[in-house]
Amino acid sequence: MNTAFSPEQDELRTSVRRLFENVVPAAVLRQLWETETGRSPQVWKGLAEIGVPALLVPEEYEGLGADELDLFFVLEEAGRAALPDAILESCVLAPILLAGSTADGLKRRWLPALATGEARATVAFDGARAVPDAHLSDLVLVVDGDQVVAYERGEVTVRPVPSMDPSRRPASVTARAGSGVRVDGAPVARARAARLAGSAVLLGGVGSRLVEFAVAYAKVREQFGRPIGSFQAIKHQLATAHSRNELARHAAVGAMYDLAHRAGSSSDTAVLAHVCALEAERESNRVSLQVHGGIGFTWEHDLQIWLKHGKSLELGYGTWRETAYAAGAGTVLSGRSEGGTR
Amino acid sequence: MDLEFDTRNEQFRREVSAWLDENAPAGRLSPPATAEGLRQHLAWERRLFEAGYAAPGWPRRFGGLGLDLWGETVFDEEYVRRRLPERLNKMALIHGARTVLVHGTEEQQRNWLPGVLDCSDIWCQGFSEPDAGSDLASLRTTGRLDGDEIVLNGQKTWTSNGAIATHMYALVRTDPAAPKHHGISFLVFDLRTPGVEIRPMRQLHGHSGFAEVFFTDVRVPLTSVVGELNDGWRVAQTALRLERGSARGSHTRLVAALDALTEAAARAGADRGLRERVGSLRAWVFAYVRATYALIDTVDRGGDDGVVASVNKLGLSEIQTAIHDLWLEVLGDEAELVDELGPDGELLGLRRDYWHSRAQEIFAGSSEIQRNIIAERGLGLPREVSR
Ligand SMILES: Cc1cc2nc3c(=O)[nH]c(=O)nc-3n(C[C@H](O)[C@H](O)[C@H](O)COP(=O)(O)OP(=O)(O)OC[C@H]3O[C@@H](n4cnc5c(N)ncnc54)[C@H](O)[C@@H]3O)c2cc1C
Repeated sequence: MNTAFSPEQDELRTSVRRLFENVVPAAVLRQLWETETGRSPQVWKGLAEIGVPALLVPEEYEGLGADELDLFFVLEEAGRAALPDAILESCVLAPILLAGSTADGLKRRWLPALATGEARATVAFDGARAVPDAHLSDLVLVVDGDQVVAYERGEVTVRPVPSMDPSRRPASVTARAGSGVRVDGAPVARARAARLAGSAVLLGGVGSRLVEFAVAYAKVREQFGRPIGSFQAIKHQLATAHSRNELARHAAVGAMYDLAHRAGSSSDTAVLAHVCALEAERESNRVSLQVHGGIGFTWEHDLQIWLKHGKSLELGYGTWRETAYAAGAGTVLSGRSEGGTR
Repeated sequence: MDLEFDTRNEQFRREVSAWLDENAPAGRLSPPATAEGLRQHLAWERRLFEAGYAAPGWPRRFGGLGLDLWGETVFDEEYVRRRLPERLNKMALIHGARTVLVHGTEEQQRNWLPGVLDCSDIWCQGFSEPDAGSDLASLRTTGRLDGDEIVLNGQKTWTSNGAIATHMYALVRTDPAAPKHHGISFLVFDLRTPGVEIRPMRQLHGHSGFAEVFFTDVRVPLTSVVGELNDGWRVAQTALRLERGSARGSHTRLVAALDALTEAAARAGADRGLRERVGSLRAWVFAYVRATYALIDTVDRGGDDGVVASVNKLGLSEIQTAIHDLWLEVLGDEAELVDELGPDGELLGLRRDYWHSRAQEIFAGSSEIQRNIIAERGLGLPREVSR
């Protein structure tokens, strides 16, 4: 067994982190709230230069033919940066649905464009009322049960809906009657698993960043003549949140690994990873604001960007109630936990 | 990344499985604190020893199989999965004797290790004292140098297996003038030395597992010291790290507990809320299993497991207690009524496991101590003032 990421994967992480730090620091994220699309074109350009949108596109469609595990760090860094762009939808879910389908026309038309970053895509699951980045997507894949239909930009009406996170800009999508093309043979189960596992990674990025902020603050903020980080009540909350993030991250790595190498168990472990991520991020979200105290509750402090991003991810990809139920229902009925997967 | 056991380990798993299926004792053994129980346990240990399975990870020259951590893990998984008897010498196998493998001289290793493997010696851990638990370095048992001997006076407590042990590895203060964390030595010595008095104590769930151990002018040879004299705190760190860090089947035990909970929930006709809670615990068990393999991989490659071991130990304790809590709740009065008293008034099965999960939050460094370690060493937060 080898639980380490490869040097290439580490390198990708470094590039992506550098891109986000340079292009969308907190001050820029705030500026983007006021713009029409809410998105920095430089992010997408940078990602395309690094090759991120091409990772899951097969080589015959001008992609890199990598696997889901290769996207782990990309998603984690996106979470750490509170990046609002729908990377999960455009760079993971859409390529999975298209590449695994038998819809050759759609594949030829869209996969190369997605790979170069010329086109962006999003995915709407089961009548979702809040579809990420529908407002700037060239392709909208609508999943309903095990059917998928592809719509081009002109074939849908997109209406913004409010979100916990002002950066995210989700929208409702209504298709024009008689438009759209069926995506035959799309691997919907795989995309669903990738959605849960991928959003677990995003949540993990937000959660660990929230704890990092609070740790840094606890070291410098003094009350009663000493840093608040020396108070055990603070220390223990941070240690607990950190530990949950760490364990949840192992679950997320396991789920992404299964997507890449053990398709058979990936639906199940994606659910499990998602539950852990939700609980760990929720705890980190609570602890981080608590440790910051009053300053954390001001509009001016950047902590709010991450607090809200985390909350909106907590609600946007299946709530705790739905996911925990999914994790427990089947095994409780069968009386077999299969908890260790071995 | 490759999250599979390699073919060599899977081959070993098949060998171990076949052997255990063939040789494992049928039914439960009596508790080792009884004469009959001790005989049964020793017989089982002897079989393991003769098959070479007493300590698969130890070097061959001491009777092990010289396997790496993955091999050991495979063995532990198969052993724990079958709920086979708790190893009589687990304190030595997991940390005590392993510490001697790291810090001991060749002569100490040759003198002590074979006795552990065939269970002709049984070791216990004498760290805690009535006034030195979490604050272990405040221990007061003294070891006065006298020629080529050390003279022990003081008391140890909560000593697991103390009543049946023949040897103790202990921390004693050998230089009373030195600062708190200095002047401590790590010793291994024979408990049958004059001046040692062992008073068995029972544990809360009825097990006769504990003892208080008193020392009055107990003379042990200077060759008992592992590592340098007065450098015992450093040596003890190895033991403590092994104690909380080694997986030793904890992940398999957690899966078994989850299985039992799931079965109970299924029988109870779980409602939505219960399914959610079971689902959440199942998720954390999955996370813990993956975290365990990652920790093993780190240690196997010679990496530092310091804070990661604490993260895992804290996680294990929290998940394990939550599973057992819910399990009792699901069973309700069935858990109250079930007759689980063993031969000597000990609790067996479910209720024993429940209370054991509670103890897990205390021993091997309490959950509070793990949080301190994670916060200070892992996250770099300032230390508390008074230490
Ligand atoms: C089943 C079992 C088996 C054991 N086996 C052995 C053995 O074989 N050999 C051996 O040497 N010992 C053994 N012990 C003892 C064990 O190591 C100690 O119980 C443990 O280290 C805690 O010490 P204590 O009991 O003195 O509690 P204390 O240290 O008095 O702690 C009491 C409470 O205060 C908390 N606390 C203490 N210090 C702090 C702090 N700085 N910050 C916040 N909270 C704090 C603790 O977390 C705990 O909740 C065993 C214990 C159990 C339960």
